[in-house]
Amino acid sequence: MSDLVGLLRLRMARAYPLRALGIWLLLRLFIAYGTGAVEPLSFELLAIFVAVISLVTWIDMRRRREMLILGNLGVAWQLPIVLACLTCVFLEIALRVVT
Amino acid sequence: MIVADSISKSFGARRVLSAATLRAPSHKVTGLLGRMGSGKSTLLKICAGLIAPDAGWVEINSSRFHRTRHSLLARKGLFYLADTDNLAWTLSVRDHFSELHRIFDLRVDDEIVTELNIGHLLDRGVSSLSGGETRKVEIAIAMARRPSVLLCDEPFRGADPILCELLGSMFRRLSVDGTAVVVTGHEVNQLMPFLDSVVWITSGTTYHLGTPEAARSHPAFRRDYLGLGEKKASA
Repeated sequence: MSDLVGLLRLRMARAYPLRALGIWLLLRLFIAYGTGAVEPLSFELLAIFVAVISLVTWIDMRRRREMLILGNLGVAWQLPIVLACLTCVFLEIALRVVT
Repeated sequence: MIVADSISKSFGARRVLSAATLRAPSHKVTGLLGRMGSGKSTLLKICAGLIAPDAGWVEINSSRFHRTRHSLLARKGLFYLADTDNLAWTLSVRDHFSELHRIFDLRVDDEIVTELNIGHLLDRGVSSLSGGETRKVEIAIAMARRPSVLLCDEPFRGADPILCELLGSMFRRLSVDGTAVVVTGHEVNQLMPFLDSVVWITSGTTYHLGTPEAARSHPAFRRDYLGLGEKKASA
């Protein structure tokens, strides 16, 4: 069993994409408020989005004390951060397709 | 069985461990004792794959690792209990057992729940538990995991004598079932009755002192760790 298979089996893993969705929405609203439009992100801005989502997810996992239990369940703590980032990238691609 | 050999670790200019060794066989409870700041927790974290050593290797169930990570060792049967933050605050106690079941297909024995008296805590959130209740739930999860190696950092810290007795009996039970248990702590009088062997960590290295009785009669251990003078030692 790999870390990824383990993560996908966990019920607590469902929260990570949802939390990433929340952060992404907040960031998007912030940008829309500043520019007055919903435009596709440049590569640089997307990289900043991913960095912010990684940092916030890491802080949130520490706050919720999830690191050690994930490790003891055989899942690397970095994996939820990757999952959150992938969610952000997927949402950006979806937005680009829609607009 | 877990073996950590020739472990060295520095944090900046400060060398915490130099050629430290930990050998904890199955069916035994091993006590890793040493003064505060001697490197007990660091050695335990290295054994758990949470910190990478500068040199040395860790062997668990005949697989040797020079650099590894906690999740990989956990899948090989290791369970690490830190002194704090072992449980996710947003989950209930039952959720923890459910997650364990989903990953390893293991359930907690009703007998353990009864013995640890945590039945009434199952639907409570972890954040609402007291320190003693948290400790009992942590050890119940560790027992439900049925690990081949259990590393426990200061399990008796802040625990009352009855809880110490309960935790100690759980360590004994795990060791009887074949687990290699390693515990650290400063509560020597509470810890010693449950130990099969003592490893003393001092000045960055380790000394395997043998049984608790042998450790208590070791002059340097008595003097430098237990704080008993030479006069008392010879008395």
